[in-house]
Amino acid sequence: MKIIVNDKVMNCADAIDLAFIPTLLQCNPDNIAMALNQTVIHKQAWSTTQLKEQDRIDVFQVVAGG
Amino acid sequence: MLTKETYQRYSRQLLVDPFNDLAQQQLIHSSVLIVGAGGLGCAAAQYLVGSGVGHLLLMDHDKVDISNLHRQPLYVESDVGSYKAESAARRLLQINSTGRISALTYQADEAVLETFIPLVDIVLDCTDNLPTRFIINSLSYKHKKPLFIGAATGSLAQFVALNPAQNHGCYACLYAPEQDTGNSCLSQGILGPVVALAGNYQALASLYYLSGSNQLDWGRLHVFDGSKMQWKQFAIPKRSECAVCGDK
Repeated sequence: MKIIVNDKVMNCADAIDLAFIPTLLQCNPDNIAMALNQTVIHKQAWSTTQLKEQDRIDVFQVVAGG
Repeated sequence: MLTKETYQRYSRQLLVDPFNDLAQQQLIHSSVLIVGAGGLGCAAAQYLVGSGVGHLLLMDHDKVDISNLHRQPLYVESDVGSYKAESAARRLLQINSTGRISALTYQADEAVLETFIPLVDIVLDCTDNLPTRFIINSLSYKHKKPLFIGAATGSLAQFVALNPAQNHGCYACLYAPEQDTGNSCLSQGILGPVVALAGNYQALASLYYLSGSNQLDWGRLHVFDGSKMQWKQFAIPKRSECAVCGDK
């Protein structure tokens, strides 16, 4: 199925969950936060959040400096 | 009723519709705690004091370093080695001497924050680390104080306005403690205008809330990527199991 990750269309297997996205992007899951269709999904809910065709995922860095 | 001198000082913001005499009076009678007097705190404090906030409490236990000056415009070279809170308070009183400014040179730990958060109308989280941000979030919700959070590293800035009276998620619904990657201005660097953007968002949202002159869109994460000059916004839903804002 096709999903949109950080404004880019990506092809992936059907029936994947949000926790698969760090693997897809080859990044450390502790370094990022994610939003699905403009709504933040807390890290604890990544593995129970199933993705659908045309879902839009935004991956962004956890920022705490100031 | 505003005095002639007050009208003169705030005339340009009083011209902004719907900012009016009542809004200005509410600002003059408001109190704000800013935790952190770095890049975020400097940006937010100068505009809140300039706009007429009655009592600003500015907390930071750090001293000014020469490496701060590129992004913390309340400090000058002669302040290096002095407490940030005290140097900033001196400069802020030069901007506006009609309000009260309390320089707090304490480390922002749980006991200190538990003392000061109940005393103010709102809290601005201008700190630089995730553990302190979780404490500020928890105590702001405990004492039902609106919380305006800014953050920045590298070319990235983030802003969130949280209101414990509203039904959105809190900071603990946004990030998990294990997401503390240690990324900071020390390790990733920071561009002055980027951190100032987040601090200015905090100041603007605070100004709207305290004056009652505009409705805020609470509980949304604003993410700025300076490398693309692009803002994005995301809703932060409440987690029913959240220990801070959830149904418990």
